[in-house]
Amino acid sequence: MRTHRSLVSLSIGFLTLAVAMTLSAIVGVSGLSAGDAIREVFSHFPGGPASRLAELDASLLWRIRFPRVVLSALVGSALGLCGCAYQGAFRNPLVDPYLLGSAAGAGLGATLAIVYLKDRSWVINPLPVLAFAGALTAVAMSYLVGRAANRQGRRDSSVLVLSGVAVASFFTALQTFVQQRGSDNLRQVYSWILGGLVTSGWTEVVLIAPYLVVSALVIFSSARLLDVLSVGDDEARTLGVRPERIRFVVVLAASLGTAAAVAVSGLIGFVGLVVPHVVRMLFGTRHHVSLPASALFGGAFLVIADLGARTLSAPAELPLGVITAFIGAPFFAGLLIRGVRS
Amino acid sequence: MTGRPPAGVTLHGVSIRRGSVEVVHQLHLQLTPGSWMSLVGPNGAGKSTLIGAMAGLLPHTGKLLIDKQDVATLSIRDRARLIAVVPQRPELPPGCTVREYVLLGRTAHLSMFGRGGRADRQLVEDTIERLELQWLADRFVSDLSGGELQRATIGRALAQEAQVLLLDEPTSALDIHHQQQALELVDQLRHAHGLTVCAAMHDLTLAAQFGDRVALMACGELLAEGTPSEVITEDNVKRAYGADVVVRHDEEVGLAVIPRRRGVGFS
Amino acid sequence: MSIIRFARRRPGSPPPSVVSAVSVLAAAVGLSFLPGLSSPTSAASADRFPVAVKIGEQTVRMAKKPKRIVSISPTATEILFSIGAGKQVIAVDDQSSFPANAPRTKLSGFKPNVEAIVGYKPDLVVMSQDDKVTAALRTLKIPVAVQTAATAFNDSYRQIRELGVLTGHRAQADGVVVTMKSRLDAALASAPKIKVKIFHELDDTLYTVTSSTFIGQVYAAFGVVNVADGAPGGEFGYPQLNAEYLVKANPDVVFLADTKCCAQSVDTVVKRDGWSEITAVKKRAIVSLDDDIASRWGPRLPLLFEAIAAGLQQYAR
Repeated sequence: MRTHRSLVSLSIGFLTLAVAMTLSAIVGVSGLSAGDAIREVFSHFPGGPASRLAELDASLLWRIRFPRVVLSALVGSALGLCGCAYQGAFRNPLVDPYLLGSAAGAGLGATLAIVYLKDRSWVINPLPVLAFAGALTAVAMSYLVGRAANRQGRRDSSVLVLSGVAVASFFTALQTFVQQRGSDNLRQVYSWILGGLVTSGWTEVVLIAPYLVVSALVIFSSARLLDVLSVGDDEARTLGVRPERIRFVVVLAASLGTAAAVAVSGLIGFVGLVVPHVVRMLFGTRHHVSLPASALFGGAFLVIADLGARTLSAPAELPLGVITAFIGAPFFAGLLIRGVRS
Repeated sequence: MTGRPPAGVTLHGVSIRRGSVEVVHQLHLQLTPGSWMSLVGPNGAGKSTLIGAMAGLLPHTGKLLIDKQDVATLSIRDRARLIAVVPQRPELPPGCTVREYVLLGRTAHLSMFGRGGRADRQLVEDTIERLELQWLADRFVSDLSGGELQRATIGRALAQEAQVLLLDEPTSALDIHHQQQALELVDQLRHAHGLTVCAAMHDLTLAAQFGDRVALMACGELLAEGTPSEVITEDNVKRAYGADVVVRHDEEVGLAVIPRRRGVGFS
Repeated sequence: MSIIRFARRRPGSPPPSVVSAVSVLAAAVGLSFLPGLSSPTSAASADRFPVAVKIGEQTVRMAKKPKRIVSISPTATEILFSIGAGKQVIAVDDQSSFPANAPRTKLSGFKPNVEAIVGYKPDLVVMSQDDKVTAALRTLKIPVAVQTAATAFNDSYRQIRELGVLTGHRAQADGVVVTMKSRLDAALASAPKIKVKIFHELDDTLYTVTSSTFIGQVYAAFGVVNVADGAPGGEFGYPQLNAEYLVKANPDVVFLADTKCCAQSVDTVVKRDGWSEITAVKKRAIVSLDDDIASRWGPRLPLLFEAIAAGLQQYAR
């Protein structure tokens, strides 16, 4: 029964992701037909058909579009997985991976980069680096504040959540302040905040992959411990685990994954909130099932959303965060109204 | 099941503070290996607090020894292999089946990343059978009735293979039939596995019927400790609870505490 | 001026048509080695390809004269059309409102879509900021010229010349620059030499510009005092003033650059609460500028200068 649910969810998840990625890979607005795109891919296999594409078009596929499809899958998986992990660690289905201020921190980092560092050219783009650092700094501060508040002997995870709210508000205020000072960069800042994936070659994929892998490994191996946390901190203690330690490790890993995702994609909401919900509804609450399924379905969701971002309003590009909100918010409301068990 | 001989429990000078108030004061208590100690007393006497401290959830001064070993020196994991708790109001994780719930009891025995081997699963199945939960094994714990949930929680505690079983008001949410059922079950298991039981109870009759010894607490202190008939007397009940009762000793049912009604029409 | 002289016919010499043809050919060949000469008939030969132009940190190389230019910058669009490269432009972004016959599309400068741009199969793309999209285009080996917002007048002239080289219209570009310079000088000369206090309004929430910005330097060239200088929050050049500060600063002339975006005009300004004591309002010295002309740094820059000069003259009256 146990392995059955696990296998079913993983198979459906992989299938969905594969279909989404394939669809996204062959559809675009540059005038390339799906057929040509497929031919181009198969032309690289021995014995495959010859490609009909000019070098520019082939280059577009391999260096712009395919990396973008992979990147959207990676970012979506990271957000889905980290959202599920956060929800498990805090026993709260309403938290998202930006809970402890990582969104606000990343926003501040990105704004600082845009306002102060834009005009010089750099060996490596400072924006994702600062966004990443900002996200982790905010989470660290939330933890420190939460620890200080908890020293009264109350070892409560809700205190940590509240300190995250405080830290996030603070970082958001800072970010707004910096943004207003350098107000001719407003457009760029908003553009980043609304979320989007633009690729030039495989750089972004290579940049964030290591963090996502580490984050995922730690989270997956904490699956059983997250199940133990589900009976509450006190009962978990009597069962023989240290809830604060589990929470710390999971939050650290999930924050790493979130920070890496946000660094390249801006602030994309709803994936980390809604996908784990749906996954739990369909496949149950045990984490060894819900964690990988959240990753797979999160990836598929964002791949399709990104496909929409670059095709629906062509030749403009829709901000990715807007699309996920458009789909995610009504979906979430629908779930609540139907009153389905979360 | 544990294969270990029953363990004795000693509380030596245990005091527990909650905020600035001392809720339990310098308590000394001894539990014989394999015995059932009923912890009774009015609300606010400190019974649940004491259970919480013994479970490792509340800090305390003084010593808690299990078979002469100071529990404070143990890791949380090792402690869980010695002491199991059946809480008063257990959390019901959504989407958790009874089988998975009982399996949680194996946490202290599983390796960091392991999910439980065949031996663990077998133990869980045996426990489920013993507690007559087979027909409910795949049901969600949130769908169980009070009595069924109590059995599942006892099953989880049993799966811990601990030597000491702590129960916090095990019958407060149950009707009379299930009260009996739960307590009889715990008693059987106690004898079968050589468990030492300490149960905080509000029902004096049941406390007397099931306990080998009774500890009466009031205002954080131990008023009396001994056999049920020694401790549960009309005077002690009056002193501790302020209640008027009649204590009857019956050959068939043992000790019974019957509230004495005040007012007209009674002799 | 043509320096080709047709040879006089001598008996026994080849017919005049042949001689002229050979002379023309020889002159053309000879002239192609003389850079910088801008004679109309030899103009085409001064624009040789391939070219390489250093723009910022990047070197933009054009192998041939571009025929499919995509502009994602309204200023660049204006420049391209002014230097005669309009026929080579196949698509401009949705904000490129001038000239009216530019092939305006829905391409967005705010969130450019790489695939959409590539779909036009451009051989040169002009953008106004360097970001991931330009990096993506470079990955595809499409020449990208990134002409960021000008911070000084020389930037404008340089950008016009850069596009002139890249599109094969060097001579015309030089001509545009010369015209611009003379018109700017004329506008500056025509303005009264009074030290007045001005306020340049970017939007209806009182965002303005200090003298460190491009627009600020335009005003500085006229020798006026910008009330925004010294205002708090002006380190990056675009402070937001509050009404109190503005009333205390008491500008003599107000220039509105938010007539299109935010529907501001003389009428709306005089109705503003607390503004009635400001000199500019009392004298009705409020000048409406075209938003676009006030925010671009291309060939229509002289129009801005002329509008400011006219405004100052109005005040001097």
